[in-house]
Amino acid sequence: MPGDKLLSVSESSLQRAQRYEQSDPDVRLMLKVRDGSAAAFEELVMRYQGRLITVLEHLVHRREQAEDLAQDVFLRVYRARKSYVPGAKFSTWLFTIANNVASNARRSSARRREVSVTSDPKDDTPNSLDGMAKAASGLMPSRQLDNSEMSEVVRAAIDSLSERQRMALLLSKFEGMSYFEIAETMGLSVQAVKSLLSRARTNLRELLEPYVVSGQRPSASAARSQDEDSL
Amino acid sequence: MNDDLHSTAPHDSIEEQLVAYLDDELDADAAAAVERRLADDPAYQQKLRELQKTWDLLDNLPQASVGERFAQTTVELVVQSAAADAEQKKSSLQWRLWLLRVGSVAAAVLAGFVGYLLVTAFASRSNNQLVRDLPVIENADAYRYAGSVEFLEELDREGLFADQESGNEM
Repeated sequence: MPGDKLLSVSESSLQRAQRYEQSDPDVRLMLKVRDGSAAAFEELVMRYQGRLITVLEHLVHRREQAEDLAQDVFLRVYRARKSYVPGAKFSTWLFTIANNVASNARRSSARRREVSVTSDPKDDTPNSLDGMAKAASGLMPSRQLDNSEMSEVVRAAIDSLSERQRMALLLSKFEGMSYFEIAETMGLSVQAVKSLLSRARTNLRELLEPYVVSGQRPSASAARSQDEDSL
Repeated sequence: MNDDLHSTAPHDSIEEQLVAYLDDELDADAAAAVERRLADDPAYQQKLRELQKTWDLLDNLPQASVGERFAQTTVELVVQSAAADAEQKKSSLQWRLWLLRVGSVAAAVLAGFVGYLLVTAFASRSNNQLVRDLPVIENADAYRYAGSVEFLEELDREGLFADQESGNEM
């Protein structure tokens, strides 16, 4: 009977909501936000602000913009409080919103770039991988990179990945999300996430190995050409 | 969870197998298969080590440190937004109330107008009836003397009322 089917579906989502409520303290905080607790909302902001800004900063490259986007994400969380039903871990739900906000921001900035004057492709921007490679390798290719240099090199390598590879990588590394959670967050299949992360890590290996071994400058353009997602 | 994730599908590349192994996303059988190959294949081992090493390099990335000010401004922003939403709701409610009032007044005026038309139509119908019956009313006393309707009809056939009818028509 269709009615029975409908009932079993609704029972299933109810059970799932109860399961997440029991297992995830942040879901319980969000339910308090839904019931009007400002203190619970502030607690969620405190818990997630650093993690959210870390991921967003790697996605949009600018700290100020990452902070603006993080505030936008929290604002959306607050606005969605009345209709909130736990269907996943809170972090998965939050980063799904963050992924959408970052995608919208990138699309907007891409539109702005279309109408702006194009820069000289020969220029090495301070954050470009080639620029970092030149700075890092210098006259002593085999020298040990210090922490800040290594951090910049790794950051430039991550920036050279495609947006989806970068997002999947950041969620895996910094949020410790499983492939299933990343798939939920990014709206992809689990198999697609598996391929995405494999390509991301292979690209990173190809980009960073030369630095680690001999300080040689890797070919960023070669890595980027492999980086096109075909999901 | 999708079952095809945990086993190494035939089309999975070596990198996919190794990355899923490092991420602890393989089931026991698939992980054991990877480990068996690792034990026998130095190139496979080397690839795993390289993938792990570059993954560990990501630990060099700084985590964002956020001051208390950020949480404070975020909450303030949300409060402002909530207040703006409430204000918008209030003005929307006022607008709807105003529309309701104007609608009520318009409905009352319309009802009055329709009522007026109905009353006027009803009254004019009564007047028309009176106008039609006026000759009878005027001659009511004479008709009373006639005694019966049949006698009056006979007089009418003989043309007694012809002058009066033509006079009424004029």
